[in-house]
Amino acid sequence: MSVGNQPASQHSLGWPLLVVGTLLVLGLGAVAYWAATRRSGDAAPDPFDPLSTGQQVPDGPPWFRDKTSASGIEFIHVNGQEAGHYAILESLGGGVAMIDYDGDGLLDLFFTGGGTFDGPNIRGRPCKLYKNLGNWQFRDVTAEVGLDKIDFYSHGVAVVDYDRDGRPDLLVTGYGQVALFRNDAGKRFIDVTTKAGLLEKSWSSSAGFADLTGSGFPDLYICNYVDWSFKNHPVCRGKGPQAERDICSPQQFKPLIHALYRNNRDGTFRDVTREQKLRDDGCGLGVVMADFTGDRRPGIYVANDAAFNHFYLVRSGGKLEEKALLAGVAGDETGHYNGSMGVDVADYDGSGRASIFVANFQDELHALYRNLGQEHFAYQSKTAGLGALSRQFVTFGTSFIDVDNDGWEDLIMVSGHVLYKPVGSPVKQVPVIMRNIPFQGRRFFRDYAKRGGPFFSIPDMGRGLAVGDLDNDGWPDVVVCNTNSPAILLRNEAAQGNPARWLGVKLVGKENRDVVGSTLTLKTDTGTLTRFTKGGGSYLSASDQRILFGLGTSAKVGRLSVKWSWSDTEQHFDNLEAGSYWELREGEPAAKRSP
Amino acid sequence: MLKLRDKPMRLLLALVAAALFLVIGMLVYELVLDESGLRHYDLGGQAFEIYDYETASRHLDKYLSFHPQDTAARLLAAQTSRRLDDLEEAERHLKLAEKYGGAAREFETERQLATIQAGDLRDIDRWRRFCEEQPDGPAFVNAILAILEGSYRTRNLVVVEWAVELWLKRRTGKIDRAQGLIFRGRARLPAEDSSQAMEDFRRAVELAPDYHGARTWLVSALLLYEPKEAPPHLDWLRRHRPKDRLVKFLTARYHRSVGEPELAAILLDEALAAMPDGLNKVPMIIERAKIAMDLDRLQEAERWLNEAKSLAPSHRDVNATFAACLVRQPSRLEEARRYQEKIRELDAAMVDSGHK
Repeated sequence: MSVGNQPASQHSLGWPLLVVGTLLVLGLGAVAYWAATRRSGDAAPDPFDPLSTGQQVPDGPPWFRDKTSASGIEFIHVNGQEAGHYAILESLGGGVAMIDYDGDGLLDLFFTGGGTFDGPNIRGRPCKLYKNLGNWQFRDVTAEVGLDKIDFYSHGVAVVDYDRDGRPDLLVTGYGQVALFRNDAGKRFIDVTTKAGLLEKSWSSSAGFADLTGSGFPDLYICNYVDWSFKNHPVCRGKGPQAERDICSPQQFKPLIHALYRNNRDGTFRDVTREQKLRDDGCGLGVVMADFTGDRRPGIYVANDAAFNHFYLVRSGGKLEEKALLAGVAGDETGHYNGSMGVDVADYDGSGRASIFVANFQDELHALYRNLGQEHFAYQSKTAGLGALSRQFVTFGTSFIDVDNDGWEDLIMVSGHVLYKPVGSPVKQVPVIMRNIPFQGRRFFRDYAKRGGPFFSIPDMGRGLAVGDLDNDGWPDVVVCNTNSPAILLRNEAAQGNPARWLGVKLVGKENRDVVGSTLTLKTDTGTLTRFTKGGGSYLSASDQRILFGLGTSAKVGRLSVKWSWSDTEQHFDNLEAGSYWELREGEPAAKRSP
Repeated sequence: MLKLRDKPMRLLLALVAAALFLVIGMLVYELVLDESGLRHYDLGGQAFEIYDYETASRHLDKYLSFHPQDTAARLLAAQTSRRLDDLEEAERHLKLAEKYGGAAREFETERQLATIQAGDLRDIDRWRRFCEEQPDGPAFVNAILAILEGSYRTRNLVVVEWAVELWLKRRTGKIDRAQGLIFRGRARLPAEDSSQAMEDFRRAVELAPDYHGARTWLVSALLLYEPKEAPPHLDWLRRHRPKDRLVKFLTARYHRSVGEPELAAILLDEALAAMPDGLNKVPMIIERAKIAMDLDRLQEAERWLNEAKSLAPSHRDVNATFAACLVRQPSRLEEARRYQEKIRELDAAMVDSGHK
């Protein structure tokens, strides 16, 4: 084969083709570059990953069943709205207390009545005490125990054994006065308000008791609201130019200084508000007392409407120090105050410390202050999942509650607007239940309304809420006090198909001394559970003072330790059997099974 | 069979070569045009007209990198920066435009509008008259937007109401109407009227579903009040504007809202890395600091906050977040107290200015 022998025509074909080929390559390259550079900078990434809207809530039987209708409880807290005064007094609502007044081992229920208006006169509506007959049956015993004489406009209720006779007494708050009722042998309540020196003339909402000096006797903290009266009753309107008349906001009034009463240990109290320099800038609505710092002394956390919340710690000599701002529990992450109502504390994250949950107003985030120790807290609402909730809620009653006894405290809230014609949020609002679940290595609250039962889809004017075991089955039940609509009893039926076990504890201080501020820890197969004895909590209400430990599927109940308030001693109890309530007496080594 | 020596074959090859030369020439011209930024000027202008200032800014920056002395483009860039509320950057463009000899009167007008936008409403009546007298003139939009921003800043709702009404009356295009609803919604937000604001933003999205501004404002509001409703609108923005820093910021805020600070941190880091220093960066830096605090990384949070503080020492949120960061550190309470005091001073100043 020889190149020189190739035909001339074939030889000369190469150059033109080379030129055309080169141009073609250049052309294609240029087109490719053009296409690449002009590819829209705003094109969607491929593949596009849509945002997640959260894990699905697993199906299962509802946790709560409404047991109100056949229970014998027919109670409506009335606020006097029908008079058309648009008084801010109407906005607070009422509370409920769980109190075993007769010592039969079953929690009875006390509701505050509210009130009505007769022209400019404010009239109280009857409060009610219902005796728990067992099997979800209740009987109205108000008159027979002497609680039918409460004639002032009432809001809140607190339960305490103020005289250490071993019987729970009752404090009722409201407009213009409070009333203290001594439990007389579990048969009658005697009004001892005047005798006890509780001469409050203010407008009080929530109240809580705790021994703030180590005397063994419980002192009393009362939240007061604002200086409204018919002499200071402006006409207020809602939003917008054509807005109709509505309830005034608290900012229209001056906040009332709260009250602190020292227990004189003789059945009387002494007002130490000025002496203790309580702050005078809070429209108080909620209070909870517990050991926030591990010093075995109860502190006081106060939820204020339209003002920074207050946080008092007990220093030596019983002196109170307010340090909400410096502890990081005064307001939200933007450094603003919220409209705060309900409040509770719990070890929600397994840290062993008492974190604080605060229910807030519409357009605000509820606040979860994670306790970091050393009197410091971190605002963790978003990290803990509360940021996913709608901001339409005006939430009042709230409580930590281990609904499914898995050992982690969940959250329950009831809401309802304070305005009659609110914008952007309904007057009646649905309750919320959030389950405490693990998520990305931390504890997280997820909306579990789907599992709550029908109650959680029915809007109402929720206010007071109390949590406790009404049928002693070890599963915490719930009672809600609505405004102008029936109170609701919810039976916890989360035990269905749920193998979780539980352990119940009732603490009794030496000679019936007050034990708020005590801390209990229980070792289980899966870790340590920490619970706190509390004064106050939720909103206008008093929950079961016994402690429930949800054990989940833990096979073994380990050592239960009690750090008693105002005491250096730590008492240990071993071999407590699950599925029972146990009475633990301070200084007595043996636990006694409760009926 | 045709051979190369055949005339038709040569003709065909010549035609192919000519066509290819033409294509290549066009492409080269396009590329030169592109690289020299001419196309960016047009695109910047188009984006500006439809209130897409983020995109406009990107294109104008590109154009100005090739034509730094184009005073008309500088003026447009200044207006764009102002509408992005980056008044420092706007002033930088104006100074450069002056240096290169543009029309001084136009720059003076732009400065007056920037003053109003910054919240100094002393000259507002003159500009209101101007808007009422020339509602269809080219300067109307420029002026009324400055008036609106200044009124939002000072919470002068009377002026906002007037401006929105005038806008809705005069601007009847779909996007313009949507923009009007956004203005009204924005006015309703600080008046604690979140639901009506969201209703305005929702209507704006219905009216102009392809207008990113409506989605952006709706998502911003939803993240504050109804975060669970944000994903579909946020996904739309992520699909259509994946490089938009504001969209990344909103996505980060969504993740943080629903308890996913780790994801939020990644997104914000990306957005912040691509962003020049300026006041517009401050809200993102603060959010980033909060995320670090969510994750208990307080030193990291402080680094971000120091950066924010260097840009805006009197920004309320910078001081509030610093205080929140420091109160978590037992040894830093005195510093925390100073920041809390600063917040009180800022709040008092705000109340005073409100009274005036």
